[in-house]
Parts: sequence; C-alpha cells; structure tokens
Amino acid sequence: MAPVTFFGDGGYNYINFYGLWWSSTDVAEIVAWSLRLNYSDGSAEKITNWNKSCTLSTRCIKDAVTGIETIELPKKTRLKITDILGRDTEFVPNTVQIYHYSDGTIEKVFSVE
Amino acid sequence: MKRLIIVSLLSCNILAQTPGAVVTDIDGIQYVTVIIGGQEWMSENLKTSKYSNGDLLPNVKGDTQWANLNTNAWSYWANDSQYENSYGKLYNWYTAADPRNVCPTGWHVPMQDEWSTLINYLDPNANGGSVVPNTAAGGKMKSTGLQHWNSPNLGATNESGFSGLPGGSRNFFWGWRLQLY
Repeated sequence: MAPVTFFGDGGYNYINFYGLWWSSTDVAEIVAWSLRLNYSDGSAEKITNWNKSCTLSTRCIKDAVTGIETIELPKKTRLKITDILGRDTEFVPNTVQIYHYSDGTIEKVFSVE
Repeated sequence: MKRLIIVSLLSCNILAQTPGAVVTDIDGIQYVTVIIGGQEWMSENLKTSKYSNGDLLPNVKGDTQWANLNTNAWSYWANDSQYENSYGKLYNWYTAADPRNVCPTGWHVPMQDEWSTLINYLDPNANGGSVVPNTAAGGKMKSTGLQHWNSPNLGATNESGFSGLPGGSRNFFWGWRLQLY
C-alpha cells in the first residue's frame, strides 16, 4: 500500500515583488483586507483574498483624536436693552442701543423704521 | 515668468514630507513616523514580539505547524532574521486584529477605510484602492531604487514618505500526499 502523508507548506513568496500590509478589517471568516504595492506598476491596491493564516507586513497608524464632545450651548436670549450710556431703556427705533444677551455678549443695534 | 515661479512653489509644497514623532514599541524598538494628509503612519514595518499588553507572540517556523494555525504568530521571511532589519516581522491576521493590540499603545493596525483615506489622499482617482491599476498612489508610497524592489519598481517616488518595501508574504497549503511507487 502506498503511504499517505500529511503535508503543510508555509511557503514564502513575493519578497522584492510585493509589499503587503494587513488591515484589521476582515471580509469573511477566513479572509481579510490588505494593501498591496507592486514592483511592476505604481498602483496601491486593496485586495481581499488573503487568508488570515498567511503572514504579511504590518504597519501601525496613530489613533485619531477622539472624545471631542459637542457642547450644547444654552439658547441665547436677550436680557435687556440699554442706551449707549448703559441706562436701561425700551426699544427705540432710529437710535443706537445696546442689546445685552444671556451668554454675556452685547450687540450695538441701530434699528431703522 | 511670474507663472513659472508659482508653479515651482506649488510642486515644492506637494513634495514636502511632515515627519511625526518617533514611536517606541513594547520591545523598545523605535519607529520613524510620517504625517500624510492628517494621518500619522509608521514609515517602517512592525518588528515587535509582544502585544502592547505584554503578551508574548510565538515565532512559528515549521511549515506544517504554520499551515494549521488560526491563532497569533509571526515569522521572519524564510525564517531568516537577516530580513527583519528592512522588512520587519511578518504577522498573520489573527495577530494583526487581536484586541490586545500588536501596535504600540496609542497606535493600531489600520482598518481598511484608513488605507482608503491614505490612497485617496495620494490619488483622488484611485477610489480607495479599488480601481486597479490606479497609477499614482502606490508610486508615492514605494521607496525608490532597486536595492529592495525588483526592477522596474515603476512609478516609485516615495513622495508621501510612507517608504513601502516589498516584504513579501508567507502562504500556506496543506493536504494529504499519496506517494506512488
């Protein structure tokens, strides 16, 4: 009877021909995305047919800055109107007046009627 | 004449490379980095023998053992340490994707869309590397010359500073061999 033997081949390939780098993103149970640079052209090719058990080069990328929160500013409301000398007043058209808002800002307003 | 001067200034601007801060892995190995379009990349391949939490990564040499592997491992190309200096270690995907993080703390193995961002920055027509052959992005990512790359190393300018080298891969096949007399 002819002998049957198990063989495994962890063969090495492509040195000097391809630069191959992993992404951490998988495509399916056994394959994942990778990037390939090629000696014969100037393309950068994303390919999906690398079995996860193959070995490729690995590069790292710095974590993006996260944790920037959007702060909801309280709605700005108008607190009072004063004249240019700071005295409280009612709305008067055709006069320079100062509007004071809840966030601490002021506006010089000249309303034309 | 005026227009010529402006063109020359613009091309200088495109070629400028922005170095990042050197990063050190858990083995104490230092890596030069480069900022490309808002992303900061290592411009050398990874060489670490540990995850960033200190867990050791096994060096698997045997072909049969390798072919049966679906856990973390690394090897040198052709099991020969002379390749490490230029090309780093080779890792399987189980290592690259492990949440223990094979990259230094504060760094990670890029997701596929982070590769797309890089490719599109270097070549807006490359559609994230899915249009092949795209002709510009890879050339801007390859180191120049024929010391490492096989001829013709077409289009290589390393304009980005990514300094990509052809480190190859380790494949695997397995099966039953029937020996006939």
